[in-house]
Amino acid sequence: MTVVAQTLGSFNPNSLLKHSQKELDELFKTLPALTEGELEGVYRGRLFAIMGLGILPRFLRNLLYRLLQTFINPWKGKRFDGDNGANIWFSKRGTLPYGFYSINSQDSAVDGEPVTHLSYDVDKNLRILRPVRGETRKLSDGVYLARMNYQTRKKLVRVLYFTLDNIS
Amino acid sequence: MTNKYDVIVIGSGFGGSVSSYHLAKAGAKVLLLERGPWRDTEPVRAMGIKKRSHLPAGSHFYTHILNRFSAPWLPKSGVKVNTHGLFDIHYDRDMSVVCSSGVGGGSHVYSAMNIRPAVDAYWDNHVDGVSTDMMEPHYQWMIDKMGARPPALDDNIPNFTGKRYEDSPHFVADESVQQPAMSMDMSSNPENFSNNSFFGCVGWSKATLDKILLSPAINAGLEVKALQECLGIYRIDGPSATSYRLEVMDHQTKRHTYYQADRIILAAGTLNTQRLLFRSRDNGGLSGMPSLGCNFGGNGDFPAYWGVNEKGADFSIGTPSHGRFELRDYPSCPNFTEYGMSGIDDVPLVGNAVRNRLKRDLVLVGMGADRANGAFTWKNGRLRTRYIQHNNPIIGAIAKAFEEISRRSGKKVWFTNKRLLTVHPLGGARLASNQNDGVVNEQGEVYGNPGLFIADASALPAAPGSPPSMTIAAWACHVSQTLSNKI
Repeated sequence: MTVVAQTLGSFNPNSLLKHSQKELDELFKTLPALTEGELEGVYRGRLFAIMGLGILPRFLRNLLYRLLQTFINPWKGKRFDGDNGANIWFSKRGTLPYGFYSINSQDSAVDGEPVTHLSYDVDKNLRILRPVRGETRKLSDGVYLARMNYQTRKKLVRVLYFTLDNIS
Repeated sequence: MTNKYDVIVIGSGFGGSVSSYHLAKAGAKVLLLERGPWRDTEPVRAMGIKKRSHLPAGSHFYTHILNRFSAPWLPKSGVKVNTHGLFDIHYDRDMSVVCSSGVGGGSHVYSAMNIRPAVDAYWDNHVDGVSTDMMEPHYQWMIDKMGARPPALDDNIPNFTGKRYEDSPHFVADESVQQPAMSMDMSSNPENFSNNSFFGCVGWSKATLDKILLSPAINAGLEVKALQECLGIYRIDGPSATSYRLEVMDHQTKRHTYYQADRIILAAGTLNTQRLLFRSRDNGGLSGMPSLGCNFGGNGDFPAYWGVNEKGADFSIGTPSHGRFELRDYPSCPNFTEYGMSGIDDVPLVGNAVRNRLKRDLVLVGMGADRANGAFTWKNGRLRTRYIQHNNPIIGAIAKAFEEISRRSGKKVWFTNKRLLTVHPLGGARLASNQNDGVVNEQGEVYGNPGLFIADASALPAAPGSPPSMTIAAWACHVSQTLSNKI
């Protein structure tokens, strides 16, 4: 008898809040790349695994990242429009975009596997934002795991991880 | 990707070891994950495994006896006592469960009884494609691998029931009572007959799965990772095929880690398999399984303490179980197996009075096929067992027979049927012909989740009514051989 796959339930991104950057690196390595044009529209973001906070106990990190999902954090997520996109602020509707990026598919500079690459090297951005490099892969249906790297002169530094989930 | 395998097997008990063995021998790239450690036994030392954990004995007894204790009033995941501990205790109102942890699973602590189901035609009439005749070669293969045979009178095994009840007017253990084949070295060396049961066996006398199956499988390419506890299974639906991602807690580094495989064999033991399936479905990793948790049972296990206090006796020596016996002239007598307090010499106790008394007493276990009509429930991340004793007449029959044993022997048999205890939990993901009646199909594959297989007691279609290790092994043989033909 052939077993047919049934539709999966939704993945809870909060289950990743206690993870360290190293753990998320391992998870990220196992994730599949996105299909072209898969990200389109407005996505809610959740920040975690912020550089330097790994020294905190897991429960404290979990608490802090949950706080960052409340109104105190002005960053609400990202908007994707074809080959371009921007971060959205204050409102989940995406009416206040800032922090622009171009989108393309390429191999990750970290693990060499295919990713959807977000390059902040865009004229509209402040100079300080331009070395930011985002990488995105699919976590489950409608949920994506992404990381923000910062290109210094010497190396690529992992700043944080975040998830994007479709709010429509 | 280095963490990608053809098959990942979760759990190294009878289901997991047998599956790993067959798949590794078939040439698949197989990873075996085990939440417990390698045990510090002579066969494991001989395998060259460097990191080993003590069995609970001597100064390590109290530190290494318990892995996790869970109860309704404790946090939902229970209290972790020691990752290197041997036993998990799941206390619950209807039925409590004790199971073990470590590479080789229950083979370290089981009573070495290698026996077919007590129920005739056990595998028949559940699903098309699985029958008792078809499963028989799997039983025989496993019993041969374990080198098991029934004890005989001229083996001169201490405390063997066949000898002890030879002239008893009350009890019978002659050839009319089928003695189980035991995977033990029954040669005359006295060392073979001590410390070989509940608390594990350090020496070579008891056949354990690490030496019998895992060692040759490792030589065939199997990768075994101990102290890796699977926390979640996530299905990845690709454009052309389905694969799985496992979230694993590495207890050595205290970090989450991830593995990927095209196929997963779940053999973590009934309770842990249930936890993993419920949790993964909650987390959006798996789908379907409307019958998950149904048809749980304790295989009619009913332990009791027999205050024999026989002068000059030392029941702590012998094979892990002393064998079976029945009540003479007692119609429809349930199965009884007798145990001494094996390993009691290595348990630190104050003074010798308690130890000496324990050596003179016995543990009785009654067993029979219950109706496996209980259920596992899952609420807010907590697994509970539900089991209505009155719906399972075997429990009452065993209790009645205990009273008769007490009456005939003149020695008190202590038992309670208010709180049932089993070491053989089964069901919850049973074999059935459709997803409304069960969780797995005739190949052991989970309905709605292609590539995910179950090869432990949670998939059994009914209670075998006898120690289920060979039945689990036979099922795992069937599942893994069917799968290896596809790879």
